[in-house]
Order: sequence, then C-alpha cells, then structure tokens
Amino acid sequence: MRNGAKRSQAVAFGAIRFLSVLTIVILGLILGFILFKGLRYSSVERGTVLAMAEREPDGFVVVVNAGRDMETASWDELYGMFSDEYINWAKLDGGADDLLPVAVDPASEDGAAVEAFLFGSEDAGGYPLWGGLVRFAPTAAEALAIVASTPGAVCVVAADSVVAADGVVPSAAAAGAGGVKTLGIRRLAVAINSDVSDFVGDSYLEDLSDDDLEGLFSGRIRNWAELGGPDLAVAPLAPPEGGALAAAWERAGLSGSGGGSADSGAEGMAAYLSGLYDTSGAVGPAFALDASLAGIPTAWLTRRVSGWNLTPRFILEAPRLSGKTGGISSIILNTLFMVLLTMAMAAPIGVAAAVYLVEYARDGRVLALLRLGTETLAGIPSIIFGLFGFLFFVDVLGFGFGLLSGSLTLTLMILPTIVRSAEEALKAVPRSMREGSLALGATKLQTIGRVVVPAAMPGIATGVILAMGRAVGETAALIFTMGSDYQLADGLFSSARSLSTHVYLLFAEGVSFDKAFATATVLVVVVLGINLAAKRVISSMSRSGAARQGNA
Amino acid sequence: MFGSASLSVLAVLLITVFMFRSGLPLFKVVSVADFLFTTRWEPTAADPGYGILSFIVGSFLVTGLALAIAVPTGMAVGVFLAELSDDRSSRTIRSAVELLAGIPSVVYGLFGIAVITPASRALFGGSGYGALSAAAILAIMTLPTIITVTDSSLRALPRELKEGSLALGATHWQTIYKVLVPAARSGIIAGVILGMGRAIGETLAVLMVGGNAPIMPKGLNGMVRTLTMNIITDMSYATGDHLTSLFATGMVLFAFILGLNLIARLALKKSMTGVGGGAGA
Repeated sequence: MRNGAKRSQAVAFGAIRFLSVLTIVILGLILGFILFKGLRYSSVERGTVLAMAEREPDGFVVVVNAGRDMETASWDELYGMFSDEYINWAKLDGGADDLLPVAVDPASEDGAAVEAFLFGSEDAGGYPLWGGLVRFAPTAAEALAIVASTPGAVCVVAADSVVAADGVVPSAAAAGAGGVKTLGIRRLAVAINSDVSDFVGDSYLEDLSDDDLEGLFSGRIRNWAELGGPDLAVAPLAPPEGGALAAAWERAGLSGSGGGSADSGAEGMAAYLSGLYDTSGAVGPAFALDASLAGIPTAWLTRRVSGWNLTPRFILEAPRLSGKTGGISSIILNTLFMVLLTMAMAAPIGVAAAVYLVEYARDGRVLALLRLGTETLAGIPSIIFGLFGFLFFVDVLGFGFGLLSGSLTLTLMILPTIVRSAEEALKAVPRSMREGSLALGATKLQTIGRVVVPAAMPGIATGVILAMGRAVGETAALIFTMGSDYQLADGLFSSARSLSTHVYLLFAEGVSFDKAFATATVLVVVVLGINLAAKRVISSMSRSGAARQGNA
Repeated sequence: MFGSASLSVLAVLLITVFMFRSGLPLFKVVSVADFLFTTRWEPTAADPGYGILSFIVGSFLVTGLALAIAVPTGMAVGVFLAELSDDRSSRTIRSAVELLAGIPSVVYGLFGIAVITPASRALFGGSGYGALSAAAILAIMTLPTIITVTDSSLRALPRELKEGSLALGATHWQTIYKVLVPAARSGIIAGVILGMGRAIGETLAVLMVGGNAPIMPKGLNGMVRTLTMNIITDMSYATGDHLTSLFATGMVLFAFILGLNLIARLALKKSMTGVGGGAGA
C-alpha cells in the first residue's frame, strides 16, 4: 500500500518534471527563435544567373558612386539600368537616390564598344536600346567624373580607362573625383534546350538549386524527369575551351565534364550556342546576353542566402516601398507618439478612477457597478475595441483614421489595467499614513495628493508601464482606427502605423517575411524592456515598503 | 474623479450600444436563426448568404483544442513551480513565463508561420494552415496565464492544509492531487475561463496560421475561420449589409465573451466563499 503510493508519486512527479522541463525548454526556444530570426535572415533567392561575379566582364567595368550599398549586379539589373527599367535605386540596393546611367557617346570608338557589350554586337543580332535616362559623356574620364560626383550614377567603361592598381581609382581622379567603386557583374546563366523548359502535361521543370546543377553536370542526374521536367535524357554541353565562358564556368566550380571544342573564337562560340539550341535535352553555361540573343531559354536558379537582418541602418532609416527596403525609423517614432498620447490620456484618468474607488466610494451598488464596468472592460477582446473605435472615434466623432482615434481606442483598452494596479497600490498604503496626515490638519484632498498617491507611486507606475507594454504590442484594435501609413505622422489626425501593425502588414501584404521578423525582434525587445522596467519598479517598491514597515 | 471612475462603465455601455446598433439591422435582411445556424457565408453574392455557424464552430474548435493542450501542461508546470522546484529556479522560470505573456500576438503569429505550420505540414500533411496550427499557437499563448494562475492559487493556500495532510501520512503527491489542487480548484477554473475568453477573442495569431477558409472546418487539420478572423478579413472592403453582418459577428463574439466573464466571476465568487476563502483570512 505504502509502496504503491510511493511508486505512483514517483511516476506522477516524474511526469510533471518531464512535462515542465519540456514546456519551459520549448518556451525558451520560442523566445530564442524569435530573437535570432530577427537578427539573421536566411532566405531563398531566385534568379537566372549564378552567384559568381566577374569584376571585368569582357574587359569592361561597371562603376558606381562609392556611397552605394551594392557589391554585385545581375546582368538583368545592369541591362535594366541602361534601358529605363529602373528609375531609382530602391529596387537595386534599397537606396532613395534617382538613377543616372552614364555612358560614353556611342558615336565614339570607346562608346561603340560599350554599346556592343551591353546590347550585343550587330553581327550577333544585338540592337542598342538605350533608355531615355542615359546621359552620354564624350569620354570615359568624363563619365567617371560624373559618377564620382553623383550619388545615383552608374557607368560602363573599358577596364583600361580605370587604373588597375586597386581597381577603383579612375584615371580622371586627378580632377578630384575619387569616390567610385566597381560592381561585380553576375551574368553566367544556365541555358537549357527549349524541349526541357516546355510544359509536359501539367509538370514543369522546377527551379534548379546548386545541388541540382552539380548533379546535372556531374552526371548524377540523368533524366530531366528527376527535376520535374519532361522525360528526356540530360545532355550536358561544355563551352569552348580557353574562352571567357569556359573561364567563368571554371570559376563557378561546375565544369566537371570538360571537353568542349578547342575553337574559342566567335565561330566556336556560335557552334556551341547552336548546339544548345538544337540538341534535345541539352544544358550548358551561357552568358545571359548570348543566350537571349540566340533565343535559348535559361533556367531559374535558386540559392540560399543569409546575412544580418537587424542592422543599425534598419533602425535609423525610414521605410520605403511599403517597408520592402529602408528601415523602420518613422514607425518607431509613430509608435512612440502613440504610446505617449495614450498614456497622457489613460494614466491620469486611470489613477483618478482608482483614487475615487479606494478613497471616496462607499461600499454599495455604485461601487459594485463601477467594479463590474472595469472588469468587463478588461475582458473585451481587442478586435471589439477596434470595431468600436472605428464606429465611434473614426466615424461618429469624425476623427478619421489617425493617431488620435488609435490612441483613444487604446486608452479604453488599457484603462482597466491601470485602474486595477493603481487600486491595489493605493490599498496597500497603510492607514496610519492617512490618519497622521489628517491629524496634522491636512484636508482629505491634500492627504491624497501629497501623502497617499506619492506613497503608492511605485505600484501605480508599474501598472502604467505594464499597460504601455500592452499598447505597444496591440494590433487588432489599431488596424481599423489608426490607419496604416508608414510615413512619419505629422499631426493628431495623421494616419500612422505602429511597430506591431507594421509586422502584420509586412506579412499580410506579402512585402517581406525577413523584414517582418526584424521588426518583430525590435518589437519584442521594446516590450521585454518595458516589462523589465516594470519588474525593477516592483522590486524597488518592495524594498522601500520593507523599509517603511521597518521604521513603523 | 467620479467621472474617471465611471468612464469604464460608460465605455462598456457605449461599446454595447454601438455594437448592437450597428449589428442588429442585419436581422431585417436575414433571420437570427439563419445567421447563427447556417453555414453559407457569401456576403458578396447576388443572393447573399450570411451564415456564421462555421465561424462559431471554428472559434470553439480552436479554443477547445488549445485548452486541451494548455490546461494539463500549464497545470503541471504550475504544480512544478509551486511544489516541486526550488525557490531559485522557480523565480527564474516565473520571470521567463511573465516575459512570454508580454509577447505581442502578431509575433506569435509570425512564429507560427515560420515553425508551427511547416511542422504541422510534415506531421499531419495538408497545407499546415488549419485548426491544429491555430490551436497550437493559442495554447502557447494561453500557457503563461494557466501556469501563473495555478502557481499563485496553490501558493495562496494556507500551510496548514499541506502540513495536515502530510501529518496524516499522505505522500506529497497524494497531498497535491487530493488536497491542494481541489482546494485551489475555483481559482484555477476562473483562470482557465479567463484564458478561454482571451483565446476566443484572439485575432492576429490565429489569422496568420488558421487558413481562413470560410467553410465548416473539415476535421482537426482542416482550414478554419473564427469569428475574429471573419471580422478582420472582410472589414477592409465590406459595405452595406456585408459591413453590418461583420458588426453582427462582433456582437455574437461580444456576447460569448460577456457570458464567459460572467461564468468566471461566479467561479471566483465561489472560491471566495469556499476553501479559498480560508486562505484570505
């Protein structure tokens, strides 16, 4: 009997210990995951060119202002810069500057060479499609000078017009134009025969990962069906040996099979490309421009990229393009305005209500009703507050979507938290302090204002701080009351979004999952900071409370 | 000061009035029974249907599943904190649990998308977005409430209860499940009901992982739409009767919450007059 009880105790405690430790570990992991995921991003990038970048493709360099936050550009990006696909840097490096493509006048010999590099030579079927934004400079040196003095400028020049020593100082630097750097160009694509890229029934060749590419060129993957494509044998082709393409292919680390033709000249290249074009199931490397001029499709490639997500820049910069680029500075400020406004309304009202409930109200129906009101308000879900705020503040009172409507809604929502904690704090003030003050001839109001409330201040402050934490984390009540403008608010009626709304909208509008996590991390750090501050206040309060009792 | 104190009452009254004033006109278009007990939700169709039964079922399904996970686990952790672990680690764990209670729901939603839905997809198949994922997120969100309530209700019990039971020869475990937990029962139940109210009213986290299909959930892993999700999804574009139907949905949600709060108050009142009352004395 006794043994049975002991055994069941051991089993029960074992189960409880196990469950508890498991739960606590899981909760800890959740916290860690959220914080970590915000700091680092790791996502799959999709494109048509390999990651390998060339500094001097075909003897040319792409030069940008030294202030740009970009190290490499894909061929599509480079082509787009000179054909009016981009008008600013937002989609290139996230910057706000306007784009200024600069080129040497194609009427000159240097300029004609650049034109052939960008758009393909006439023999290969290229056709110059200069965008209207492009500014033509008479010489390479002048083009470089423009780039050095314009933050948003980019130009393509022959590599020998740039002193090779460190690769970035233009020969025109004598004129004081030092601030340029070169961009690496990613232009090595994987060309596939059109038989492979076509639909087969309802299956379609999927994106190729680095691992798939390795498999295709090492002979591990023998049939396109293994990659979701048609039932065709894989026919890997090797580029002509000794040429630029073979060199690039070597650097990309995929030239496993080797054995291309020995003719690296134009004819050998044309033969190779027509091989890709004609051979069913063929796959092989090709520069993006060559493939598109020859009419050969290129495969979609994916690779995993990772890096720092939450950088100082992210916190200090204003968001652009719905938050896709830039940072969250204006949103942090909007959140701050919202919290200050909410607290300016909720704290005095909440404390006054608590003072009335504790110091003035007699026990009875009125008090019971007031308590019931506070408790009911505390239980109402935030979405209902959101609906009410939309009906009353936005619509009936006509405040519209903005800071004021949002803050008023939040005020109602967090009022019970403040009232209840202030009530507890006021109740904890010993009677003797009130009686002492009254005995000294102070009026009741003086007693409350000078003795009771100051004595209860730490408890009141804790409640206010905790309420602040709730306001910062709220989303559902704000979406239909505060609006969603991500610019800095410029008044009480200005639509604004808070950090938590930004997290939701970044996800819901499909803008950026990584940015959503980075913002969430900032949000979590803010909320945790607020809660820790509240704990600090509690512990200092209990210390001073103990001191007070010690004196008594 | 009286004005400040009565603001809460005023706010509750205003919220009630506005919810009903904006929601009730819907019943000129559909009958109450059709609204509550049919499942055809096609507010923008030529012949609009405004049945929210699937969303009511969805709300209770998700909340019920969440509580089924969170209550036993949370109570176990609460017992562990109050009775089994030493003071130092209890304090650390308590602050960690409090921190988790402060994390905003939208962040839990993100976590759900990044971790729970892929896990659910791998374990149970389907899209990963559904009642189970939503319930898992809600369970994680309700856990801190249940842990804290169990822990503090157990610690509020007078020492004599435990000592008397141990002196009679009961083991520690017998004391816990035959004496302490029953004595703290009302407090724990009230906490669970409050947690349930929170869970039913939760919007963003379930919205992000629940799938949000306006149909009756097909099994535990099926896509689900709750009352809250219904409001927030359509709110951005609804007009006319459609908008009214959303306020009516809010009205139903509001009624459920008020009912739950009432039950929680009754449970608490019972705990004041029951064994727990002895603790206060």
